[in-house]
Amino acid sequence: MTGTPIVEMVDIQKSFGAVQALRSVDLKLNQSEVLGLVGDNAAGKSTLMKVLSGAYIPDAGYILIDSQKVHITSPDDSRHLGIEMVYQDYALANNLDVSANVFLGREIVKWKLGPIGMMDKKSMEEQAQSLLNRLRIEIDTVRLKVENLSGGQRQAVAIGRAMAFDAKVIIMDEPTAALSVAAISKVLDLIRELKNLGSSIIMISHRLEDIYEVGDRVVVLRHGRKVADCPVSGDIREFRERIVSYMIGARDDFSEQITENKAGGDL
Amino acid sequence: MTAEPKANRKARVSLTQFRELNVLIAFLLLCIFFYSQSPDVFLKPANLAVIMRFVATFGLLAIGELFVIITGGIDLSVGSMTALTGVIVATLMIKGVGPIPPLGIPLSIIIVVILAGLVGLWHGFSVTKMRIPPFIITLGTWLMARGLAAYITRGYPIVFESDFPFLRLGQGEIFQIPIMFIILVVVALIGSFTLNSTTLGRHIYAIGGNIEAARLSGVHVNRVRIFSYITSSILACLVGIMLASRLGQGTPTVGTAYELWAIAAAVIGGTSLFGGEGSVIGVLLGAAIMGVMINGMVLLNISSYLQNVILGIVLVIAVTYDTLRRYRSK
Repeated sequence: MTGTPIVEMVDIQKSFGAVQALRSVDLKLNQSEVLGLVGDNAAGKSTLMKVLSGAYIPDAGYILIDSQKVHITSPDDSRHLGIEMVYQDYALANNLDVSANVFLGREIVKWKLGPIGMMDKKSMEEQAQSLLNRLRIEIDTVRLKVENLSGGQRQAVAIGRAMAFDAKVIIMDEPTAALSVAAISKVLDLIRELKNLGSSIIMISHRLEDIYEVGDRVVVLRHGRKVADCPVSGDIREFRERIVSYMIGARDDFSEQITENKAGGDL
Repeated sequence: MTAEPKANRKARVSLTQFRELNVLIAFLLLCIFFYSQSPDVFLKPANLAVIMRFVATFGLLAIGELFVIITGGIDLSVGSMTALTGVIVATLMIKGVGPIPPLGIPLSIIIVVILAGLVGLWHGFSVTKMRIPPFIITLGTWLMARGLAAYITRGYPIVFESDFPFLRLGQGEIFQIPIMFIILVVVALIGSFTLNSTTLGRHIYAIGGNIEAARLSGVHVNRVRIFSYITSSILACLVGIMLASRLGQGTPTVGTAYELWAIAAAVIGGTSLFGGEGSVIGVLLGAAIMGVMINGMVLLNISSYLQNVILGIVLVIAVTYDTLRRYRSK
């Protein structure tokens, strides 16, 4: 990969009581790269991403953004650094329209009186519409309430929302988990579109075929450790078998510190 | 391609106003019906003033309730709060407190509004920071405020002299329009502007729609919810002041069950008790429907027991219709 990584997480550790959720994990994300993050349940994927998005504070380790050391202690911090998280359940207010959701919490205002701002609805609608056009998201009008959208459209709005503020890094938690086949291919198109526009994306997914389709690189976690970090390559069956063998512990590329589990030994 | 979104936009706008439009049509039909039944009385200025005072009372309470209900909460204390604030404002103006002599009208009003704001702050704080269900915390105030009002007055009303200037607020009219109603219109305009055009209003709706999404989007969820409870308490206080002026006394029994009437007005006007939906104009129409119905039934000499039965039926029909409409649209 070329250039300096946009995100570098180094030696991240996090425990919850006696449970070591992350044991010294390193993760790199390059510019305009789609990184697949996979692992079985409780492997530590979500914990790692919550550290990056500010929901958790790590016990040890540090994070570099554009080679600058940063301290992320809240979701606000990470958002200010250009990191946006797209949540699995979309995190949209269904009773509001598309434009209101895109700008929720960051409304464009004409003037402000203390904490209360007079909204500039027209600008928000225009910008939301041009955002949808730019990302080729097909929704008739931004004045449509989210409750009237399909699952795929909702996911597109949730992703578009992250893009509205020129996020450098977008983290997606299972973006295709709840979608129909047709909607999945649209969301994958959208991810490609974001990549073309220069965004860097980390995508947590159980669906290896999705990562195979749009991913450049894949990182596998198991029991809170990184066990694989490799480019997406080969044909789909070989790729899937390889990744699954990492996920279930049959292979491990980073096991030199742990003597009893030699790489590929069990195969 | 460019014409299509515009057509859709129009369709959508008329759909969202559909609900208020239905309520408006129901309101107009009721007016026509009662006018046809008693054409010589219904439109008389004196009768209209009665309706307007009713609408002002319940409209103001319902607007406060609306702010809370949209966020997914409820405020059961507003009826008792009208009694308590009415009693306090009368005490401050007529008797004074202990060694302190009676205070002037403006100062008394300012003090009681601040007290009501503190009660609202208490509700909001309990709901957000202590995670007490709004139903419970405001039920507590419902009891406490009523009890305190009776305790302060020892159960007797505190009566104003009939020429006390404060009484103009509730009894006075400007061009045959009660001052109470003018206050309602001003509050409604401010409330409507707040909900529709400010970030605060949008965040109130967002919290009712999906509180977790609002929080993740950086909305100051707790602050906004506390604000809605304060709004509700202050509007209840405003009604308490107006009713004390209207009745010429601060009395601990005023406003009994008004919180339920206010909630009924909000619901008839299309407010969803699940939060996230409702508008000031809908709430006003809901209060107006109730006002016109009660007035009309009195004009028609319908037994006051039967009046409650009919109002109950209207409430159930309104909610059933709204639920079915929403179910069908999904």
